[in-house]
Amino acid sequence: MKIDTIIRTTFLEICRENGVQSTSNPTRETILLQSGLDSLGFAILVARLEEILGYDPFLLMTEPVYPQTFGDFVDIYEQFKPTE
Amino acid sequence: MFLHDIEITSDRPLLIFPEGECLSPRELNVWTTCAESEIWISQIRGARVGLCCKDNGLIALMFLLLDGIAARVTLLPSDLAPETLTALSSGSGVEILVSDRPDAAAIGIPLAPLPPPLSAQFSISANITAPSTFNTEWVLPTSGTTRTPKLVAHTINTLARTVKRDPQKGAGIRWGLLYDLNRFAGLQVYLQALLGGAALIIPRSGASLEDTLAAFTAAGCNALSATPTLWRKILMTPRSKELPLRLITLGGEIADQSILSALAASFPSARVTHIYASTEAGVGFSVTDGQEGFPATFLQGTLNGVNLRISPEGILELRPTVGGQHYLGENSPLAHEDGFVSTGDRVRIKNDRVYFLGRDSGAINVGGNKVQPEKVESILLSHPAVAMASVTAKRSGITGSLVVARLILHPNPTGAKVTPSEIREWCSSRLDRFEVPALIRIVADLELNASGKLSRN
Repeated sequence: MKIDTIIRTTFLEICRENGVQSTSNPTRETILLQSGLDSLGFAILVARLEEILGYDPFLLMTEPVYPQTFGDFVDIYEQFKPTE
Repeated sequence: MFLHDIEITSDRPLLIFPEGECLSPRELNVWTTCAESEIWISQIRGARVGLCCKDNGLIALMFLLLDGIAARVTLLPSDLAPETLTALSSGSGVEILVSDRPDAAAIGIPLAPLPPPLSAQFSISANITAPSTFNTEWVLPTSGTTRTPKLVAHTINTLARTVKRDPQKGAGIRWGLLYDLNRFAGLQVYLQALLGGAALIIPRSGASLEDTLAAFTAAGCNALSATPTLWRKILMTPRSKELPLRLITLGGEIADQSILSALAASFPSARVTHIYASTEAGVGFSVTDGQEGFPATFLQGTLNGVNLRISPEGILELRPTVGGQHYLGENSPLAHEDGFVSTGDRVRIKNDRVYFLGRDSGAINVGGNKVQPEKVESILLSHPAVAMASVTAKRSGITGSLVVARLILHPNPTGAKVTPSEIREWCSSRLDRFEVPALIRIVADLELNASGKLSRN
């Protein structure tokens, strides 16, 4: 499965678990903090993705980056994808 | 009174309200000494007052009226339930309550009216130089490791100990208020702004972070204090980098290197300070070199009125050189005989730097909220399918830590298996959201340490 799809599925799952109403499919331009998830929601999303993908880009990055849109978030995962 | 520590004839902005309205020390002095305020003050003079307001603007004004007038001011967080407020009020001997809550009567304490509005035409008081007769005691709730906070009594001297009083540096600084003024962290920002010769921008209550930051940018906010978790959120907010920040302060959680570096990169002209403050010791110190932890040289001599040492067990201990704060209603002294207070924080020295490892109690700090692993384990164990449970912390780049649970399930003869999401729902209905394990792993075995206890490492 593509990283984008995995992130999208997990994102919607965390939204449901946290009782977030606006669970429409996010676009690349969706502002993360307007998606309904708060800091704790994002921390859970990143931890859950680490279980699935095997890495946490936010702990791997030497120059810290904080994503603002859903597209930024996906790009960070693409960028830190371990090379096979 | 606070205003007596400020040049009351000055026309510089002191408090900046959501509508952009600025009030100078001179205007505020007219308000606090007008006949209408005198009448209000006469009802609370010498009393033990409880303050329970949602509106930070109202609290900011009332602090000016209450200090030196009330015998004791107890700050009651307005987000608590009436029965918790009743218990806290009785613990602090509150005689009269000032509140903007519609259900304030349910707290069961006689209510004082709200002070006169700023918009009113003031009458000149006959008694302009009303003397401050009381060294008001300020009682604040702790930031809540449990659902019912403890009350700690302070004086303005103990609260303002860390305030940098340099009017020349303070002039031109505008602090944005991101905390509730009912809490320790909010009061610290308030005192730093007012006594440090700066201005304080008070955002609209309940506004979104994005709107608050936009209002701060518009009002020329150049100093902000927030937890590392809130700072990460600020960096995730579009246009946050437009804030013309000169002073950045982090506190309430351990500041890790990535957030310190990210802030330095996003706000290159800002001075980044992380503050270590201990509720137990009622004091703290600050680090300004942009690196996590603090220099080991801090362990020698006196630092900002505090002595530091590391106990043989690796716990940081502090000794305030100004005493004064104590838990209300408890006789147990906060300090050892030699005056040192255990902070409960485990530390390690590496390359002449002291690093924080976590709470000695094993408490997990999730975005500033402390989680007791034993409490979460007991809820997990109350689920009929769970045989053993171990709760640990996992590092998070966003909230510092997260709660992780590993579980051994009871053998089920029918072969039906309980799922992690069922366990999560069980926890969600019984725990605060930050206490619910972010990850739940079903395992075959759990490690025990030499004393037969669950290993938390």
